[in-house]
Amino acid sequence: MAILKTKVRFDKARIESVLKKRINDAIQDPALLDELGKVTVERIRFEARREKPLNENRKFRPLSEGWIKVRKYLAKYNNTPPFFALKRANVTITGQLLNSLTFKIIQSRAAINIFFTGDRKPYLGKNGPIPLSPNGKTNEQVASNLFDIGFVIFDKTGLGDETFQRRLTNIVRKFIRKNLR
Amino acid sequence: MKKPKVSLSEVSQTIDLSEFLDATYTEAEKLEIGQALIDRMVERVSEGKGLRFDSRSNAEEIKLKSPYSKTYAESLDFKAAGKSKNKVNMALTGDMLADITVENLPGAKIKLTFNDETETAKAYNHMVGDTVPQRPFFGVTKDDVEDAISNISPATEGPRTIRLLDLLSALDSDGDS
Repeated sequence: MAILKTKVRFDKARIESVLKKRINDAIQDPALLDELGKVTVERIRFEARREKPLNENRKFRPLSEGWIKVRKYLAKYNNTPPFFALKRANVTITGQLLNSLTFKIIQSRAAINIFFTGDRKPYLGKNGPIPLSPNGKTNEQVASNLFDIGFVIFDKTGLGDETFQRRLTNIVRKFIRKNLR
Repeated sequence: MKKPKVSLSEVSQTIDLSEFLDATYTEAEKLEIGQALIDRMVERVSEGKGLRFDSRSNAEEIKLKSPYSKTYAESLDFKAAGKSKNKVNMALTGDMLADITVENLPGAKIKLTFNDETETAKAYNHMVGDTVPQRPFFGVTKDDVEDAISNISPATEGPRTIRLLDLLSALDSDGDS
């Protein structure tokens, strides 16, 4: 029985060039960057609400007794979310800081800029709104203040644990697969 | 079609596409069908539904046990994720469902499975109800496969466009070109 053998030769350089362009196009696609941004912001919020920085396998340091008293007072006059607890060091009283976390797509660099946005809404006290401190008028300022005292919600040194990195990788892999048709 | 294999080390379902259509699929097409099946599975789960397979591997769509337990609903993780007690969707962080992947097997077969052993263990726990209420969320039906296949034009149907993924596979095995 005759066996027909065929061999297809590829212009490897051209194919690699086309592939490179297609992959570059895919990873700069706003839809991909949008999904990565949403998933990352949600993960940062989730971990912080559980008293954890994104990039480290430890909890935030415990709250001081003085601050717990302040939280108790504020909780009396403000609406607190379900994950609030007096002694829970999860950077949450009303939830406005973590809720303000957002991201911006920088398409030209295939990057996502994650940041806190917006002005602070004053806490309510016994006599109404409590004036904001001069360096606590925006959520970005509050996050920066927390950073300075060791509550680093996220930083630029990493992208979370292995599980989360794999999650991001899976998103990119799936997206490239769908776009290399 | 076989029902899912469920063990501590592997939660998977192998699908032989030749059972559905006498056609040849490229690797890229097989992976595309597999991804469509994963998407369908995740969609079903997001509706609070799963599958129960009988001894003949016939699947019946079922409602996943709802609501979540009081203990779980009161946990910090549950609250931090913003979950709703009555909306069962098998997702806390979403890592488990996002870990489901498709593998290309010889012939016309593909396998839907988990990449990571932690996610596999979580899935096993849900599938058998080891330490949590049983919620058999993993698997696809014959109808799911037929739907996924109907969106793909197999190689035997006529002239086809060579996909970049096919070329990539060929390049990997054609070192002297």
